[in-house]
Amino acid sequence: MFRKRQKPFFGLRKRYFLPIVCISFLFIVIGSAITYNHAQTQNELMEKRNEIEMKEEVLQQIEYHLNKVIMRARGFYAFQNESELTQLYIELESLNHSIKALKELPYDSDITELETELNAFYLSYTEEILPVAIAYVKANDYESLRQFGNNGPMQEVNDFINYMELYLQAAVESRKDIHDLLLLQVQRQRRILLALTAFVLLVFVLTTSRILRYISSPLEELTEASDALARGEDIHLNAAYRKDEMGMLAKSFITMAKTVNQKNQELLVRHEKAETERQLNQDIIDHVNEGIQFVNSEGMLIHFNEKFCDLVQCKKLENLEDRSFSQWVHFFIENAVIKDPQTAKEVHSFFQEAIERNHPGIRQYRYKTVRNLVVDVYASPVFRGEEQVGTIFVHRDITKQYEIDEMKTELVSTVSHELRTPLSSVLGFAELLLEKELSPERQKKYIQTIYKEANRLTNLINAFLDLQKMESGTLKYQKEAVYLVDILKDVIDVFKLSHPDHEFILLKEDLGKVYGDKEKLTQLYMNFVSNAVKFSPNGGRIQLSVTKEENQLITKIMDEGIGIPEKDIPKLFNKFYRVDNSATRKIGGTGLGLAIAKEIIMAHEGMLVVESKIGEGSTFLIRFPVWEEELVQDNKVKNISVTDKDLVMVVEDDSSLAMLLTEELNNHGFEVIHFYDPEEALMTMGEVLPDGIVLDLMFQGETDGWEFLRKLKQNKKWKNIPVFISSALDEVIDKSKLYGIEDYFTKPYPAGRLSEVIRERLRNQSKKGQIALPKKEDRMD
Amino acid sequence: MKKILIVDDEEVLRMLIADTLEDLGFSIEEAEDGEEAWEVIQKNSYDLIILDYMMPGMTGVEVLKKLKESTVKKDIPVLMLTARSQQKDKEELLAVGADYFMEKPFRPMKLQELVEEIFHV
Repeated sequence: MFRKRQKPFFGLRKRYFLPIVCISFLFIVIGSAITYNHAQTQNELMEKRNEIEMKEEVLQQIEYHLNKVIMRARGFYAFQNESELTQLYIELESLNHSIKALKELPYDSDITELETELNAFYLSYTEEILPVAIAYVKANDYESLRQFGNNGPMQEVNDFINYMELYLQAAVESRKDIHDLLLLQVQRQRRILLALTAFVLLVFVLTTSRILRYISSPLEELTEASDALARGEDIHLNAAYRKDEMGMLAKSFITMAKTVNQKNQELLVRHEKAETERQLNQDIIDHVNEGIQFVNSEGMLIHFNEKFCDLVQCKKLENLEDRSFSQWVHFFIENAVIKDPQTAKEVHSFFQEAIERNHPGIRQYRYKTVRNLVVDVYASPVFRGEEQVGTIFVHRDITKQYEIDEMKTELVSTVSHELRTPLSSVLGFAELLLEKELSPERQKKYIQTIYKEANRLTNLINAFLDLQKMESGTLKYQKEAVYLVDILKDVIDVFKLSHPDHEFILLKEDLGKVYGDKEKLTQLYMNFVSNAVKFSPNGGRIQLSVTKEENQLITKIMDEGIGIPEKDIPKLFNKFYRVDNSATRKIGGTGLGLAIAKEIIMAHEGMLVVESKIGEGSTFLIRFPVWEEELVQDNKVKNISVTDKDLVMVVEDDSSLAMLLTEELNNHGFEVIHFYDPEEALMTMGEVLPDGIVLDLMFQGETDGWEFLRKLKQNKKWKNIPVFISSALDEVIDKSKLYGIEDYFTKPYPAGRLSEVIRERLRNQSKKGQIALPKKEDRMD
Repeated sequence: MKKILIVDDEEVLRMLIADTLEDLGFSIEEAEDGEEAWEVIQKNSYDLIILDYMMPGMTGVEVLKKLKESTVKKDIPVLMLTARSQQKDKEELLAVGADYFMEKPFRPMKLQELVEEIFHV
C-alpha cells in the first residue's frame, strides 16, 4: 500500500531557503550600497585632494616663480645685469602663466579671490613697481630705489609673499585634512563593513541554530520515540502537529509505530496463542496416562511428558531434555528399570534398535520398573514426509492389567484345580465300580463317596455362580423385615447336632429387625459359623450375639479357634484365598465362603470388622442398619413430645430414601413422621396434623399418591397443608398443578434442596386453616 | 512286596489311588502334604512315589526337587499327578527329574496300567 506523499504546505525549504536568500540578498545590497557610497565619498575626496594637489602645485609654481621674480629683481637691482632682467621677465611670464593656470583649476571662491589678488599684484608689480625700480637702477639712483622700496612696494611685495606662503600653507593644511578625512573615511568604512559582517554572521548563527533546533528537536523526539517504540511504550510526537517534512516524518513515524505496534500485538497474540497451544499440547501429553518421550534421529531425548518424568524419577536430574542417547538411556536404566543386568541389557538394545533408521512399524518391549510396575513400551518411528525425524516411545503402565491377567490365570488354575479334585473322585470311584468286582461294602462306600464328592462339586459350582451373580449385581435379593436373632437361632440349630465338640451360645440383647433377604442372610451366617467351626478343630465355644447401637444391629461371631495371621486378614475375602499353614491345610472348603459373605454384607449396606489373635480365636463383627420403619416409629413417639417444631409427614415406600429425607429434615429442625403406606398416613392424619407433606406418587397398594392427594384436598382440615411431591415421574407436573402442589421434586434430587424448599415454604406461610396439633397428653396415651 | 507312597492333600483321592493299587498287591503308604511326605521318604524306602503337583505348603515340585537332589533317594521313580493347566510346567518337572506323569482327573484303570508297566508286572 503506497500513499502518494503530499508536499508539505510549509516546507522546510520554503521556510528557510527563501528567508535566507532574502536576508543574504539584503545584506549584499546593503553591503554594496555602503561600499558604493564609500567609494563615492572616497572618489569625491580623492578628486578634492587632486584638486588641492593641483592647486598646491599651481600655488607652489606661483610661489616659486614669485620668489624667482623677486630674486631676479634683486639680482638686477644689485648687479644691473641685463640677463637678470631678461630672466626676470621670463619668470614674470611664467608667473603670469601660472596665475592663468589658476583659472583652469575648478571653481573656488578662495582661488578666485587669490587670482584677483595675484592679478592685482601682478599688475601692480609689472605696471607700477618694476618700471619705477628699473628706471631707478638704470639711473643708478639706488637711493631713490631704496626710498621707493621703503615707501611701500617692498612691503607690498613681502606682504604678498607672506600671504602666498600662508595660502600655500593653508592649501597644504587642507590637503592634509583631506588626507586625514580620507583615512578616517576608509577606517569608518572598514568598521561598518566589520560590523555588518559581524551582524551577518550573528544572523547566520542565530538562523542556523534556529534551523538546527527546528530540525534537530523533532529528530531528537524521533530518536526518543524510536527508543520508546523499542521499549514498547506509547509514543507521542509534538512534531506530528507540524506541517513540514518533520511533521510528515513524525506522522509517518507514528503510522509506522502504529503498524509496528499492531504487528507486535498480532505477533504477541500469535505468540500467546502458540504458547497456549504449546501449553495445551504439553497439558494433553502430561495428562495422558502413558509416559511419552520423543527422541530425534540422532537418538537425543528432545521431549517427554510428566508421566515419563515420574517413571524415570527425573526430578533427580536438573535437565533431562537434550541429553544424548547414551546419557538418557543410562539414566533411564538407572532410575526406571528394575535392577537386573539382563533386563538392563535388553532395555538398552531395545532403545538402540528402535532408534535405528529404516525400521518401519511399531516395536514393543515389556519391562519391570524399580518400583515393581510392569510397563509396556512401544516405539514407533516418526516421519516427516519421507524422512524419519525421530522415534516416539510410549511407556504404558500395565501393572493393574498384568495383575488382573495374573489373577485371572491364577483363578482359572484354582477353579480348575478345585473342580478337578471332586471330579477325579467321582470319575475314579465310578470307574472302579464299573471295572472291578467289589464287595458290597466297598461298593456302598464308593457310592457314598461319589455322592459326597458330587455334592461338593455342586456346592462349589453353586457358590461360584452365586458369587459371580453377586459380583455382577445380577443376583436378586428378596428383602423383607427379618429378625436377625431368628436367623442366628436357625443357623446354630443346624450346626449344633453335627458338631458335638463345639459349644454354641447365642446372646440376645436386642430383637431388632433388619431389612434383608432371609435366605442370603442365613447363608451369610452359615458361612461364618461354618468357618468358626472349621477353624477351631479342637472344639471350644462359638458365641453369637446381637446388640443394637444407635441405628445399627451388630452381630458378632466369636470362636476360640486357631486365629488368622494379621497379614492374611485383608486378603481373607478374596476368592479362593486360604490362609496357608500347617494348621489350616487340612481344613477344606470352597474358598469362596467369605467372598460370598462380603458380597451379601455389601448388598445389605452392612459393615464387617475382623479381629483375630493366633491361637486364641477370631471375631467377625457385622453391622446392619436397623429396619427403618422401627426408626420412624421411634421418631413418631418423639414427635409428639415436641410440638413447637414443624411436623413433616413423609409418605414414601423407598426405605432408604425415606431415611435420607428423615435425617435431612431432622437436621433442619423438622419433626418427621414416615409412612410407607398412604392409607396408613391418612389414618394417622386423623390424629396428627402435619405442617407439610412430602409425597411419593407411586405406591403398590390401592391408594397411590394421586388418590392420597384427592382425599387430602377433599378434607377441609387437610386441604391447606402444603404438599411436596417427590417422584421419579416428571411428566405429571402439569397434573400436580391441578391439586395446588407446592413443589415438585423429580428423583433423584439432593435431599438438601427439599429441606430448603420446605423450610422456606413453611416459614413464609401463615398456618391458615391448619388445626393445632393434638395435645401432648392425649398423644402420649 | 513293592511299597508305594501316595502324596495328596485330598483324602478321597488318596483313597482312590490306594484302593486301586492295593488290589494289585502293593503296599501303600500315604502322606497328606509335602512336609509329611519328605519326612517319611527320608525315613523309609519306597519303590514308587505318586506325588500330587498342587498342594498347599510344600508343593509336589519342591518334594520332587529335594528328592532328586538327594544322593540316597534320587533313584526312586516318581509319578507326578498334574492338572491340564500345569502341562506347561511339564518341562520344569522333567528338568527336575519327574519320571512319569498322569493328568487329573485320571482314570484308575489307566493308573493301574501305568504302575504295572513301571514294575513290569
